[in-house]
Amino acid sequence: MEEQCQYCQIKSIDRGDNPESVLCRECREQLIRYPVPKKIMVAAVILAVLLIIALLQFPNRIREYKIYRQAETNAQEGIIYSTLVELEELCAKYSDSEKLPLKILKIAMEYGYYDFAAYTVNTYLQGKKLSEWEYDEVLKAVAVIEKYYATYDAFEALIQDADQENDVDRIRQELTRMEQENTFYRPLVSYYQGMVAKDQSSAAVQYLKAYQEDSNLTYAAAQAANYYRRTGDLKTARTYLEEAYGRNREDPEVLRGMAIVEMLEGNSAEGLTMAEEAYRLSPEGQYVADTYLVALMENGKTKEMEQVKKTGTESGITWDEQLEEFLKGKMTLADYYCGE
Amino acid sequence: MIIPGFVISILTFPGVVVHELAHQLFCRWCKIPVYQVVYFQMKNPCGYVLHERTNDPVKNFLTAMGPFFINTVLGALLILPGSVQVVAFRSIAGTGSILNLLLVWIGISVLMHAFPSTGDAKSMVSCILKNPEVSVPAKILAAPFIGLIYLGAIGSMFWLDLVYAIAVALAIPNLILLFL
Repeated sequence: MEEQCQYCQIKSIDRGDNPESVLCRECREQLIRYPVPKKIMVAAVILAVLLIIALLQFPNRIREYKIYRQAETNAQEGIIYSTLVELEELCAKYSDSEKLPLKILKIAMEYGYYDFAAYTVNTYLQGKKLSEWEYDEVLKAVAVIEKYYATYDAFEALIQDADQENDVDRIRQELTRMEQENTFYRPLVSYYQGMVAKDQSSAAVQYLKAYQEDSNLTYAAAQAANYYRRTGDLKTARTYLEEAYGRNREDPEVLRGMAIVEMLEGNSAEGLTMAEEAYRLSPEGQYVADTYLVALMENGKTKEMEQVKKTGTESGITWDEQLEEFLKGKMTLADYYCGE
Repeated sequence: MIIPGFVISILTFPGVVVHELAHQLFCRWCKIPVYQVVYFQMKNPCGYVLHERTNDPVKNFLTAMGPFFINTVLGALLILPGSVQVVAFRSIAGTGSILNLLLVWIGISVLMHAFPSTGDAKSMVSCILKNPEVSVPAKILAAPFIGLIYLGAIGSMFWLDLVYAIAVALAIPNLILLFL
């Protein structure tokens, strides 16, 4: 007697597809398509919608994660300012995160962006719960930042009401005293000593000292390079600038310095690239716009030059006479940039 | 900390539902009749699928391991936006945070229920390892999966399922970055 299907109890079991089957063909076909309840279908639809939402967020989240993960690598390659700005945007978005501001603090302190570090501590780390190790790192950073700003504030106070001719000796003496004190940031003191040095040669010595004491002071290296450039020693100027550029590819002073050296060596196009980047980063930086105008002229981009000049004038920049002479073609590049 | 398994299942019930639904769908695709599906219940086991026994090793492997693949892929995709915010940045504030937290919860739930059950492992042992009609290479291929299922079952007592969920949540963004 044939065995009956254990589901319908009517038809015979069909073992054609599976020798161990206990079902007839019709019941088998029916149970292969065992229905999914409506509740589960609704849940599946909700899940599908959430999946679509997750996938739509996918590109932005990956981009944000990439910024975070590659921040230190980018900084090591000299892309420091842009990295810090991107991380700060993430900080503003995820304001309760402590990982993001700690990352900014680490990079900012390592590469001498103490203003960024100070802003991050004040804005994003105040009141956050940190581990003991994280707290210690923040305290160490704050100690360096305080020393840096104590030096900055002391110098600002010195020059605030200073009479340029009479007080410069007093300022030099005061800076010499500050150099001996542990409460001030020595590399910055050296830089300030360069700013008030009695001649350009002494200034270059101080700038190089500042840079050697802290390789993050790439703008100090740029100032020293400017001295060598003015004396016609483009090789030494280039050496210091390239070293500083390797450390920080977004220092407007370094970029400006390199742009000038490139143009003086006949590489106008490369000079324009550097000058443009410096201008993008610091359109109001001292002489940055000037150098950009020069680079545009050297590359025959007169129309763009006029536009940039107009923008600068409208924002309050006063162009010096020598630049005007150069732009009118009454001065050569070498005369403008060498022997100042 | 020992928390009863059914309490964990209640907290992560979306994962249970997805797991059983995956079993059911693989049975349908492999043309295996299903007798009963319980997508979720408040007792042990918290969900199950009763289906016809099959001696086909490929069908057996697919129906047993199907939920692992489905839950892992689905869970990884669901959790990605939330994992960057919550796990990488340790943030629960900001625009869309409630949605991201929901995605993290569902993603973790789905991932925690990726592991097949020991019942599935026993079925694979019987239909693959002990089946004289299955070739030796196929048995060698299936054996590690069976071992992992038992490891997962034991490990779940020590939160291995949660560790797996978090590991996938952390690994996926990093894996994607490797290719970008």
